[in-house]
Amino acid sequence: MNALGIIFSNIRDKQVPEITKNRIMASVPFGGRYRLIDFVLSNMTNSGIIKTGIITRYNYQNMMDHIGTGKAWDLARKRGGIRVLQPYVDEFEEFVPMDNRLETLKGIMSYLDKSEEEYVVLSDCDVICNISYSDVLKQHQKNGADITIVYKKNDKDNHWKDKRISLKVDENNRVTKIKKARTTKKGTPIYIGTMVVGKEFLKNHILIACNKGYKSLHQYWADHTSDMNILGYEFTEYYAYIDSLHTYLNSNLDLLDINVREDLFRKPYRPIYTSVNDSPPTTYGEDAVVENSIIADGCVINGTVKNSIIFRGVKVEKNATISNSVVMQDNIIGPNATLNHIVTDKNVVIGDHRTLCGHETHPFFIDKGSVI
Amino acid sequence: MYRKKKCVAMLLAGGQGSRLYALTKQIAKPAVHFGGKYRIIDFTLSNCINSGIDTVGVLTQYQPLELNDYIDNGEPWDLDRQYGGVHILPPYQGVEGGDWYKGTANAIYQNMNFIDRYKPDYVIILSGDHIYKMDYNKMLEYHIEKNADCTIAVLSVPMEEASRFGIMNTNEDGRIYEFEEKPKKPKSNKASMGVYIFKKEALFRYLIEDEADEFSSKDFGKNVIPAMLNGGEKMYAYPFEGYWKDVGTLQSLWEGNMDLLGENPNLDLRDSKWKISYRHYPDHPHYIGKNGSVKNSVIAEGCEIYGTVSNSVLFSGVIVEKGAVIKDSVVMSNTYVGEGASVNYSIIDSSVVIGSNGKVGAKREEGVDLTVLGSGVKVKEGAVIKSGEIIEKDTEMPELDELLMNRLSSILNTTETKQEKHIEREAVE
Repeated sequence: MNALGIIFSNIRDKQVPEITKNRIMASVPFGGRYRLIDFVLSNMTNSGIIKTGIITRYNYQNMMDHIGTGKAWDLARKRGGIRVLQPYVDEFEEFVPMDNRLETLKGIMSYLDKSEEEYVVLSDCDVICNISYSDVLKQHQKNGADITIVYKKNDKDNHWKDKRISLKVDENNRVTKIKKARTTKKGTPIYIGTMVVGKEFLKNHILIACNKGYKSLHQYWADHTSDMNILGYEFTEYYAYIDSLHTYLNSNLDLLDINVREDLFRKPYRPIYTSVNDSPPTTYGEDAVVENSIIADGCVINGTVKNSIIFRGVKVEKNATISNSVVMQDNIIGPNATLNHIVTDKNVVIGDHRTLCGHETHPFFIDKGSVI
Repeated sequence: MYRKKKCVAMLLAGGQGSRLYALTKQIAKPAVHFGGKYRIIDFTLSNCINSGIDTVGVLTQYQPLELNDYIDNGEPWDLDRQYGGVHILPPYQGVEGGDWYKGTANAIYQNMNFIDRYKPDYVIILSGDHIYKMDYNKMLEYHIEKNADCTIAVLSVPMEEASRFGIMNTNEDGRIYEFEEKPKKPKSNKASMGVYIFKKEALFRYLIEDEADEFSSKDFGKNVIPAMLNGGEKMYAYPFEGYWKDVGTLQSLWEGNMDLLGENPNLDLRDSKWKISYRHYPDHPHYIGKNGSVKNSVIAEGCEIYGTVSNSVLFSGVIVEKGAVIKDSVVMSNTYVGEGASVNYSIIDSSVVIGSNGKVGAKREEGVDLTVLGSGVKVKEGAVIKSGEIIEKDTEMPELDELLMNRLSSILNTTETKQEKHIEREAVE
């Protein structure tokens, strides 16, 4: 595929403050064994993108740790591969500003210049879906678009925690209006953090926008819907957006639906990759009772698990009961403990007979490494 | 220039494993699946890297395609190295012709030039068909300490079983004075594990000698070891303690898998200090449905379980439909078990389809034999496969529901064909 991937890894880091206390959005654990950035990286490699730049600003060590050389996504390449684009200082020892996407893209202009690809796929790191960028690019080329914005129609009326970008799309799929809104009605096209744009076009317009003093790339596009050919690409399959602990829990629990798993994980030739750690398969004891749950590798299950997502290496002792919860990597849930509507971070130990309970709309969060 | 290595490992992986019948029809024994995620050879390769041996020659001969693919550049075991690493060594042709490997000793003989590239002081000979966790470095230290020409790892087996093994009779200090292959009246219970460390110089000397002997069957156990004993070389037995299993028969393969079950399993793979590495195929964590039940079992990624599973080992991507029951069985990757079907005391290879209400095997009890279905076998809806049967291919084409086949096509086509996936992917672009 004749496109370069650019991923913005430091975005919405404050949306789920509990989970992003120690990490950035890109490395938020999801679905038993993944990190959010796995989806966009897998989509890129599955679409044949072999060159991907990941823009970082701060606190990205845990993400770097996860990505390593990029081997797991087949992106450890001599030609292309993953390139982490860190902030840097210029010749006057001043930090090159990277406060918004425009400045950031200007800051990586030399990376864009050097790459030979004609198109760029820009994506946020928290787009949880299985999408083929080749299809988006095909439509982009066929219609001679300047920019193609990927959107999904709201499946219900929504009130978002932070404003989201919604579009108005006419019958020819042309985007006529881009605006930010907190409340969006059912059926409204919502931008899902992914766009395709010609590289030269992007470079020119970054410079123009910066010169004009724009602070936001989307605002710049929004002001030019009439004189640019901005098209929409409707994505109709499963897509999750996390903006709170509540939506975090729910998006995880979405995976209990076979249709969601089919959409996300079981697409032929489009698996979701993640870093691997040689966990053994999971062992179930004589007293294990498991219902409607996702269990990752390396666990030992001797208790009861219902409607929950259990990450790698979790130990559930006898008579412990976990329901409607997300239990992250390497937790130990002690005998006779009870968890309901809980999200536990990594390496948590829950002692014998502890009872922890949140509510469906207000899950209770337990910090990394806590011992209860 | 190659850097000198202290010890090079030579892993004999050419065996057919004919006693595994259907399971080794297409693949060599070391490539046979084991324990939900592994292949037999993972244990030896992981032992090598965990013991600090980073140069491994893998000698292949029988059905090497899948094994070669699996080992590839050795990356899963950290054996992708600038110098050393894993090398596949098939039989080859030279100026003076060439030949198949005529025996274990001949296989090493033909690859003496490979060993010499690394100028090792020691060579460790391993076989790729045992399940065990062993620190070869400790054995090497023992070998050096004894200033031995050859050290053979031995395991204490029950005396009544000793006549099934190659038995080492030793002095008190561990020096071997006699070797008996499957003795009728064993004098000791120290069974050879098929792990040998040689001084390179001594090994080469005896290999060359053995090769010149036209009556030799070119085998370590039958020829080289007895010749060294006769030659008065210093040979020691290294006592190994721990789990070790030869999974060369269907029954022992089944037992080996069952050794993973239980609260304190005989074979513990959770030790983070001695990880067994394997090649990964991307799959999501497994799912257990509302009416699913799993007891005393090991389940790998990608499984979808809506039925009942007990005392069993399930590999990646197995689908167990509503009302299906799997008991006392080993079910390998991407197999489909239809609604109401039952699998009892069986080994089911990869990508098998068992139609709804099919019945495979019988309840495990005295006098009931293990049932085996080979890779890709399809069992007709409602069909009965009697216990003790070993089925290699569909005896009659099942009439499976077309809808079901469509649903399965994506699963069945993706069986372990990472390569294929790539080809498809590039073609799509």
